[in-house]
Amino acid sequence: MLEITESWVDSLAPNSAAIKNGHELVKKGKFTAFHQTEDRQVLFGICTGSGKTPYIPSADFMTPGNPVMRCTCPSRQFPCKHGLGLLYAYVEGKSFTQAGVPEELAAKREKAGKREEKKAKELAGEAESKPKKVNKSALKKKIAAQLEGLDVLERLTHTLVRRGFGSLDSKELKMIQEHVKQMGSHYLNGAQIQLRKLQLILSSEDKEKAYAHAAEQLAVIHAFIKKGRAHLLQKLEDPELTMDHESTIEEWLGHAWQIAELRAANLTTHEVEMIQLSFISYDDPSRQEYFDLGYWIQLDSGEIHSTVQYRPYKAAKLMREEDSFFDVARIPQLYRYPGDMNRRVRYESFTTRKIEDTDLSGVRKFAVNSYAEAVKKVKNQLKNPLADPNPVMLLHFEEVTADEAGRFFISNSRGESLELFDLLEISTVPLLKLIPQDQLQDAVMLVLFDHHTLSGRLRVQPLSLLNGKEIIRFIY
Amino acid sequence: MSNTPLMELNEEIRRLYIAGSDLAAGDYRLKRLLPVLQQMGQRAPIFMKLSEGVAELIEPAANNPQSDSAKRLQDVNLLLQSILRTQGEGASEGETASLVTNPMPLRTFLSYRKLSAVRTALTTRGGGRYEIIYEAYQSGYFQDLRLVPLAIQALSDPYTEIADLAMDRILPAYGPAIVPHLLDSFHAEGGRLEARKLTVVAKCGGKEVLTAIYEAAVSGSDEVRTTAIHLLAGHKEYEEALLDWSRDKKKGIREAAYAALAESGWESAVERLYEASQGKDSELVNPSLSRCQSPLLTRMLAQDFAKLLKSQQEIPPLSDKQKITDNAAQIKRYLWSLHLKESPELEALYLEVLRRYEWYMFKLDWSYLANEAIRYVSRTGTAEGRRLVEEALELDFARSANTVHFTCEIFVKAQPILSPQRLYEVYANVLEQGTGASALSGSKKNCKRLLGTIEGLVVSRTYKRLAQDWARGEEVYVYDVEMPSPESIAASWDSRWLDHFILLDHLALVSAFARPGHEGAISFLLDRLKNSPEFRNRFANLAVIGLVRAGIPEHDLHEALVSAMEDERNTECHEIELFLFGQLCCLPARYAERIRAVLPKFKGRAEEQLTSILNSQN
Repeated sequence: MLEITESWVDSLAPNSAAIKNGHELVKKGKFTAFHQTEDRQVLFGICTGSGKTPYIPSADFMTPGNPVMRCTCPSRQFPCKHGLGLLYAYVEGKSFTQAGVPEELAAKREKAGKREEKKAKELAGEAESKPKKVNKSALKKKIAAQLEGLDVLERLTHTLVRRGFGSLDSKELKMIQEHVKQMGSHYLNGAQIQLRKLQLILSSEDKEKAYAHAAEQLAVIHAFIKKGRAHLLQKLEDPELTMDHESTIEEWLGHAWQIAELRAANLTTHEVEMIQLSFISYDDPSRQEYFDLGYWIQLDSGEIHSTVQYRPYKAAKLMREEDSFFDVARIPQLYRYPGDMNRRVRYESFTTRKIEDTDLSGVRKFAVNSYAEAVKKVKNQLKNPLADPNPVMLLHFEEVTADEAGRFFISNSRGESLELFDLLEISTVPLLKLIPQDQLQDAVMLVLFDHHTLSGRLRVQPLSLLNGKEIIRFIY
Repeated sequence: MSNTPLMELNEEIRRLYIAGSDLAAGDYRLKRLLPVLQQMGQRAPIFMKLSEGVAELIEPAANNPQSDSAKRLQDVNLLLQSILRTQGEGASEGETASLVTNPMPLRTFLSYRKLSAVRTALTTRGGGRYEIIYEAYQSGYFQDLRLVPLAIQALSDPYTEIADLAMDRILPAYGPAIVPHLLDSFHAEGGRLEARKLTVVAKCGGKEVLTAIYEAAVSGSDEVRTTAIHLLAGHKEYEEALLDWSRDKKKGIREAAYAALAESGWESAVERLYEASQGKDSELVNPSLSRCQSPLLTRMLAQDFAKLLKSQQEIPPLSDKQKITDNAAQIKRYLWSLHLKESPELEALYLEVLRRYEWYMFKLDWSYLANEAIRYVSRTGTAEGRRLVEEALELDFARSANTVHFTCEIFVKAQPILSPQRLYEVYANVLEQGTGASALSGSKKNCKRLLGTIEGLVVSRTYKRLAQDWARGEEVYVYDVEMPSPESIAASWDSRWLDHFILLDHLALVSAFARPGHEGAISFLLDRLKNSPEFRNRFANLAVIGLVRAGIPEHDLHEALVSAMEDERNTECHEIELFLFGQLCCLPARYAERIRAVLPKFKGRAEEQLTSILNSQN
């Protein structure tokens, strides 16, 4: 029997419309037959559609946890609603009769099987014998171009700083925009994003706020130029041109880590179980992308990881939109990106199981009790301008308090407190007023830190609340 | 360590970013800060580095060109930002107390994909949001904790339908638990939003919220006050207050108080309303008079009304035009406030009007009064009343013969009153003359108008939301044609009409009037179905309604239906109308094959409908 749950099927769907349509197909009785193979590896069904011949969606569990979905329909969405409908029907407990795989499907499976075999062979062979060959001269050229790009970027920022924000006009803003494009040809995607951000800040209406932000942003760009240059120069001197697997500088310079690279750098953890604590999705105009961000806790170590998916504006419609995840994800191989707190992680396949009370009580134990310790750790990260300015931690608190000005705090038994504040676009602090008092005592909160330079306040926004029984998610 | 000097430095650095870094050299404000920074530098090397950077910025070394000012500023800024980020304070400074919450017994169960669409709909502007919010409400999404604040916010949505939805359905569904959250943010001096909050509070809260409402009625903005006053209707403890408000200086407040009094119906309220109707507020109070169901008020108003009419009779006919116009306005007010109410005084009054029908209807041209009298008297139905009404109608007929009025309003007026035979006799002529007349002739137009009038009386066409089996019990919008039952047609219409309708080729009326045993009707309707078998048109449904009313044998009907479905013209149908679909559902299983064969011709809902028939036959 395959262990699949509805939320797991939901997680396969590219968007909410596909979920709805998949359910509808089952509800409307569009499926005329449900079958499974004797070895229970393949589920397939027959579903009437708008075409003359019915479609045959199938789900092939050759590798459990990562089914190959196929369908004879012409939809570009993947998996299509028919495939999802098939799985929903299975979850609902519809009876699947035993049958042999249709010919067409059998041929496809055979081919896929061979492909997998070949890939596995290649992978095994490669790992043992030949490391991936790097074209060093090309890489050197690229580094040179990047260094040149950093010089261009530096000249631009210096011109802007000498000139002063007060006298910037549309011509300068346009100049920044042109430089954004130029950075692309210097292989500096990170610089593109930061420069675009600067441009967005400077063109905003509220000038006072904009200037404060712009000064901070210029510090980030300055740090990027300095560290980037130092890193690239050092790399040039290294005969092997090795990557930095520790810090995020490679990513800042525009490198997109591949799983093979992470594996090679030994950034893999095996057999991991994770629970998602919070999920956020927002539009990041400086990246020109939508940003799906999940915060997860690793059940054995208590580390809080993040999963990130970028959906570029141009491709957003065709890409799978991530969603909140309510089960325990059991991941055979977890790849960790270089970074600091809340390291980005990735995985290729996973299976699920329901969250149990023991999982939650386990998670609670990982919550940090001392705020001084937490703040120290956070500040240690914040002082690096290139680090994530909004780290996330799980904090234990004794109670939630309010002062006369209406500000909310969490406080612990040591008499320490931290101000709660809405930092993201989605407001969560007022939701606390709707929570029963007993759940706001001796509980655990997932919070997002933020340092506000103008007021000098280090504040946190509640993302989720963990009481003994459930996770109350304030965002998604 | 105090970080004020650092904050000040940050401020100065920002100023330099705005003004341009070249101005940093010799900057006196930086100079003033330098000693403090240097002092701090004694304690930690990082501050030393910072103070050195600042010193460099003020007085660049001789070998550093001016153009490097930007780099120097950037360096100081970078260092400063890093330091500042380690200086943040997050703890509370003053007194704090445990947060007191007003819990809502809700959970957070929605996933991002489900919640975000509703969140977006509730926090943005633009079209298409109502449907999302309504659907979310229907699916119970508002039971997710995170939507509560947004539901409250929705009360101020500029799209009124959404604000109303939140006020009437979404928020009341939370029950009394929502009340403290609404009162929490309630500002009596606010506008529409606050008035809406108050309405929800009154709906969800019990007696205990009345004090809050009363306070709002006393001290709120005008909009809040009027709403609050309305909400106090029927609460005896606020009787005095309501009576006081009905004498308020502000017109809006008086109006609201009148409405609340009318709803309460207390004796004191009736007296006050009556009193107001006598004074300068007679216009203002009228809607409230009309709403108040107290028999006492009806009697008092009817007596005054009678007096007024009496005085009208005493005026020499048509001598004083101004007086007549004034009285007419007053009479309209009485009619409005007494509409749909009954009392012996009123009956006597209207009988009197009918006795002098010609005077009121034609001389004074007060048709509103005369018609109301007919309506009232024919409803009470005494023998004398009947006679008077019939006489009045005869006068109407004589006056309006061959006018548009005769075939429209007068017919509608006469139909419920006259006997079916008499009505037919008066009007049959119009149809006879219209039969065969040229399309442009007056008699044809008259005839068409009459047919239209009759159709308006017996055929109603509406779109409505109905739960449908073929849609798995979900509610969908359907187009529905309704007619009175065949028994009611037989009872209130003359049987001779039907033949005229057939001759005049009027499908809808033939269907409505078709009765068992009338072979002509059956063959007419079968013909029409054969000639226009398309289910996408409205004709097929009408013809089938008629055939069933005419009692066509089942077998014949089934054959006719399936033949129409099979007709090659019957394509492009997206939805089968309600009655027709009902008949198709009764088709025996032996037709399954024939239905399956035509299924590909039908699209969308029609396809689903036919599929559901096939499924049920299996």
